[in-house]
Amino acid sequence: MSTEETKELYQEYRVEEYLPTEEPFYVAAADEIKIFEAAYQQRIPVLLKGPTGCGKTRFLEYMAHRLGQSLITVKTTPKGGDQHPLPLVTIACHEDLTGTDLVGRYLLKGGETAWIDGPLARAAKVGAICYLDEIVEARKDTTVIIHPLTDHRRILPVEKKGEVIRAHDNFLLVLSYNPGYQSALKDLKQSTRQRFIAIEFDYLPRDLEKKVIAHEGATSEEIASDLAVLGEKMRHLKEYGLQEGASTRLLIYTAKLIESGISPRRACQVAVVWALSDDPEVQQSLEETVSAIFK
Amino acid sequence: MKMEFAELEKELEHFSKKVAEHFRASTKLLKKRLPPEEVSQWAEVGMDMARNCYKSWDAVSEYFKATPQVLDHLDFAKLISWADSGRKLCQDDASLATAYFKSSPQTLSYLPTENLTEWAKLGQSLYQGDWKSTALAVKFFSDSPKLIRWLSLDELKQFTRLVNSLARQQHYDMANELIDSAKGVLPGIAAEDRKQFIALGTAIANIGSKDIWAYIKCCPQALSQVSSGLRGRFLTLTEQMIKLKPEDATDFFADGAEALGKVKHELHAEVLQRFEELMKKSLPAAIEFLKSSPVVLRRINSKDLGEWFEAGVRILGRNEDEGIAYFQLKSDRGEAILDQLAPGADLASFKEILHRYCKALTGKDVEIVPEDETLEETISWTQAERLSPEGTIVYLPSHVKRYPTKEENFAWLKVIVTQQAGHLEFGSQEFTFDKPSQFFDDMRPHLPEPSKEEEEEEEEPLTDLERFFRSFQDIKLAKAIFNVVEDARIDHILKQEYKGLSDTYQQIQRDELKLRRPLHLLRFREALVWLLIDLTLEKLEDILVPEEGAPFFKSAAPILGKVLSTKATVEDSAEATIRLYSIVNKAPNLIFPPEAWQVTETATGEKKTKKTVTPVPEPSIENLEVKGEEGPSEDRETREVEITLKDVADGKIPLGLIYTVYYEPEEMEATDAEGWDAPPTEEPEQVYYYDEWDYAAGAYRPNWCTIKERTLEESAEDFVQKTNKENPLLVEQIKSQFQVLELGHLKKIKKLPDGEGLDLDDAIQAIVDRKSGATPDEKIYWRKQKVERDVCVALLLDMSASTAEPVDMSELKLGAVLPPGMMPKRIIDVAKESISLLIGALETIGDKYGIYGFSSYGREHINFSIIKEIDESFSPKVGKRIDQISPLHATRMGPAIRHATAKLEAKDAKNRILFLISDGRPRDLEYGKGHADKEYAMHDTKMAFTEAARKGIAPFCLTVDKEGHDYMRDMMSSDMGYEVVDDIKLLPERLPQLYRRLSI
Ligand SMILES: Nc1ncnc2c1ncn2[C@@H]1O[C@H](COP(=O)(O)OP(=O)(O)OP(=O)(O)O)[C@@H](O)[C@H]1O
Ligand SMILES: [Mg+2]
Repeated sequence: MSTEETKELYQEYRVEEYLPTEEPFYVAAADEIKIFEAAYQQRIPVLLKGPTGCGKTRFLEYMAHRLGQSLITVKTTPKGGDQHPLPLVTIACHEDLTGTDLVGRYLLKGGETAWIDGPLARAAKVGAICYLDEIVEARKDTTVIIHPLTDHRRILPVEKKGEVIRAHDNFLLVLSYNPGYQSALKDLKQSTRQRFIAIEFDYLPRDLEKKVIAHEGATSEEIASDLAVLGEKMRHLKEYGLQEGASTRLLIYTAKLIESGISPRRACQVAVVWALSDDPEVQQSLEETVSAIFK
Repeated sequence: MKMEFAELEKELEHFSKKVAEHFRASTKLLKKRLPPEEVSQWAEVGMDMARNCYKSWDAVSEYFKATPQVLDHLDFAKLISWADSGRKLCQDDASLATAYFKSSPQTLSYLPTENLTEWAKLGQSLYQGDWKSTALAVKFFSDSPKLIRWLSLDELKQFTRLVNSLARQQHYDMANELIDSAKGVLPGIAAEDRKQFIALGTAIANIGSKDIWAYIKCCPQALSQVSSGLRGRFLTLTEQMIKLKPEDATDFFADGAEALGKVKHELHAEVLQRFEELMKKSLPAAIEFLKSSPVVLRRINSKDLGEWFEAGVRILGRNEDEGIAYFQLKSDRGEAILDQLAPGADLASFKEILHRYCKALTGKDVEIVPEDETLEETISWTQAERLSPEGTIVYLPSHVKRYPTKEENFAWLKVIVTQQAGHLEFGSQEFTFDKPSQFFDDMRPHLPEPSKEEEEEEEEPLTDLERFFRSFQDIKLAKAIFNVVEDARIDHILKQEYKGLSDTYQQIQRDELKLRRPLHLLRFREALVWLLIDLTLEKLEDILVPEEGAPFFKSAAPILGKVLSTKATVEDSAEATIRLYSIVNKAPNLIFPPEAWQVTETATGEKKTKKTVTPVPEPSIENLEVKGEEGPSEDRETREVEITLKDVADGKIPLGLIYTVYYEPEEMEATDAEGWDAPPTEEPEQVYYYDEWDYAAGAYRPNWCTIKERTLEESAEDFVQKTNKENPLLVEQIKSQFQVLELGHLKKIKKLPDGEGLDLDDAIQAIVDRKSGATPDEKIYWRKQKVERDVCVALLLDMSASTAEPVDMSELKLGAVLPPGMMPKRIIDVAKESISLLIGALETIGDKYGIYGFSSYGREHINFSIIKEIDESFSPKVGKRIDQISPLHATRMGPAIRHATAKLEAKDAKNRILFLISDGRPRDLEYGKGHADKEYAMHDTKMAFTEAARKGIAPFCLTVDKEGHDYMRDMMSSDMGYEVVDDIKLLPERLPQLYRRLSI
């Protein structure tokens, strides 16, 4: 397999350059767009709260795109070229994520040491929106690193190099956080929390979610509507056998399965019922609900 | 020769006229068939008996009488040997010969002639010289035809030996009972099983007297429970039991048969076969199996019995105790297996699933709780108020077995839960009085406010919905309508929202509605509310409605239609309720006869009726009749009467109806308030349960019927007094009839120290004694003394709706305009009168009597009204209760008869009579298959009568149904009395007459 061929199969981006060129599809639940715009204007960091698969990432993609468009019209980018005016750098947080991973480190390159910026540093430099997904998963000492970036200083200390990075004017830090799974151990420190404004997300109400499912799942109004109903019902069972209700994402998966010819009840079974629970009794309750809604 | 016979005849006349008569008659016949010398030889035997045997006239008489018939079977030689056998018996005791001769003609139709002497000897063998053995031998001869018909000579010998062995142990009662028992059993078992029956008796007799007594007693009843082809096998099994465990044999016999009686006959073979199989492994387990089989077969399908059985056998193989517990239905494992096999759905195993399902649908935490009797019935296809008022509990039956499979039964549960959850999900409980509706011009603002006082009476502030209901005069009606409308709205939304369930939902709705009582048994207003439910399920044209009611029904349809929208809200239901209430309230509140219920005709229908149906206009705010502002009630009454009379004249309305219409206003007032929750109009004072006989299954349905007993209220008027006043002539006439009866039962008692007069003979004797110096007997007076009549009667009156029919239609035709206040007489009125008159008679002669009425509304609601208890003494109260009797619902006779029987049974009297007065055949909801299963109803009623007869109570049935003869003949056994009075107007006279005849 030649290198050329490989290139055709996938594309590689630098994190700070990645952003879809088309406007992402986003259905607003409330005034979150306005709030975010205002926050961005004032460069106030934002915390996105909400259960899984409810559209937080999508929202941010949409906002980055939207705000980027306005940046183009307001002022020309210094570097020009095809670089996106407002890239979105996403960092998935996990337990082993260290400060170094975020800021950068020296690497050995042919007997020489070379400094490599971490994604946070890069985002700060290029003026991207940096999205730290599931921040509570990260170690506490890691979280502290973002403190100087998220107050009036807007700087990122690079201790290993004895430098500080002053963040690009366009830079904004956004965290996501799912309060559903919070435990005392994994709660955010107040000093971290209180550096952000928070926007709460929840699954969309039935009518709006229907639009999302229809669009994303490329399915009929009717199926989308039924799936939206199903989603609503499943969410009633949170804490009644389910840890979390069915996410919009799962419902979209279901729609896609149905569209590729799987019968609705079966599609719901694999994409919703079995995905949500392993307990046979709970599964039966879910299936009864499915079979009430779908023929 | 002629001379000779004349002389004999004369001699015989000395003995008794009857003997001579029979002699003369038979001689005449015999002379045609036998040569003269044979006739005289025959006559000689008779004369010999007459001359030489003590008190032999009856025997001789029977001898002469029987001869011509016997001669059909015997030649002369055998005739003489027959006569000789008789003579020998006569020498022992004349009554033996009497019985012998008397039963000979019939016996000979079954007995081969060569066995004749043997037969006589068998009877004679029972005779021991004392009166008990004589009675037994007499019984033997009298019952011989019924025994010999079924038994060979050998079998008869064995049987007699058994009887005799009991007699020899001085168990004469048992010996007698054994003969009776055999009479009952023999016709029902196969020829080859008869030996078995006797052999088993003999074997059991060897165990002990208690056992044989039990066997004899229960045998006919027990065997009748066993499928006819298997009775012999069952007897054989019992015999095997004797060998294995003699002390338990009779228990096995009785309990086993009883258990089989509760199992369908076609399954008896399988059950017995499995019993036999199990017996080889463990006898106690087998016995438990047999006893449990009805319960098991009620729970699982018969095809699965084998699986359940095998599982038990495997457990038994491992551990006997566990196996026994399994078949006793006392093991957890057995329970689990049964549950698995059972097609019914147990709420317990689905509770959590349904709870979560409910939570999923509504987002609310709704508890699922097994229902109990307190569940309130409502007009709804779900039949009951299953959601608690706060909407936190749904009540469901703990076991559902409406359908053949578990899936279907679960589906039923699911649909019911969905329906209840639907009310929570779609806002039934969020009614706001002031919130506008979607589809109506709101009338609520125009409703009258509930009065201040009314509101202040309440401790808690009224909910908006209660406040709404308070605006109606008839709150119950308003609630019923609202519930139906709101149900309809919810059902509609649910079927849209839950498409996966909608077909099942609709099907179950239909199935449930089939279970409701037939609408033609209801007053039309209640029926109309029910019909609204049908409207949501069926096409308008397919629904049966009485012509009279069609306009109301049709105008209700579009109003209900408006709430059938996913956008409709509970406020729309309220607005619809206001309009429907107004319509329903105008509808006639009658019970229409079943024939009147027809398919409503469509507007476009080709068929033209004479009467064009104009829908009642939809009520507007102006003509809203909800509360208060009704015209003076008298006005409305007359209006109604006028219309109906005119319609009758036009031939539009069957005559039968007019009366009810006419009668309505007065009656409505009394019953309206409670009419809606029918059947149970009042709280019963006592509840009893009775079995019902299922002739098709050949078994009783245990505790099938619920008798709700209460004492009838007293009205203001004393009906007895009123009747007596209105019929002075009749009262006199009846009194005198009964006084005769009283006199007829006076007996002259002599030899009293004091009395009404001197007895001539005794007086002379006394004088003679005195003259001759002896002390004269002072007891020379006589007195007429009343022989204590010892009669106890229970009068049982059919109070079903059909008794509301007018007695005489012609009255109506003639007097087209009835003067107000005069009502045509109904059957029930005549019956009430008759009873009132009879009371007078009964009081005269001092018989004990109780008066009861009954009507029914399906097997769970059999109202048994006490008008007078047997022990209660007569007072104006009784008359006032009679006045209160009014027709209602249907006629389930069986349980009422059983209940009256139980009352009589508790009383000690020589003659106990159950006197049923009815206007037609028994019929009720689900009396058998549907209400139309005449056979079932008849058989049950017949069985109820038979049970009474068995308890020594004489049943009598009086019916005023002209077709009565047809079914009465089937319903009453030949030895029970019945009478069909086809002119009901004669009833007041006939009833006392009948009673008189019956009680002598
Ligand atoms: N408001 C919305 N408008 C358009 N699409 C949406 C919306 N909400 C959810 N989606 C769809 O749902 C999918 C899942 O949403 P997304 O990935 O943004 O969830 P998330 O909140 O980031 O979940 P997680 O916390 O698991 O990362 C998206 O791919 C998108 O298709
Ligand atoms: Mg995400």
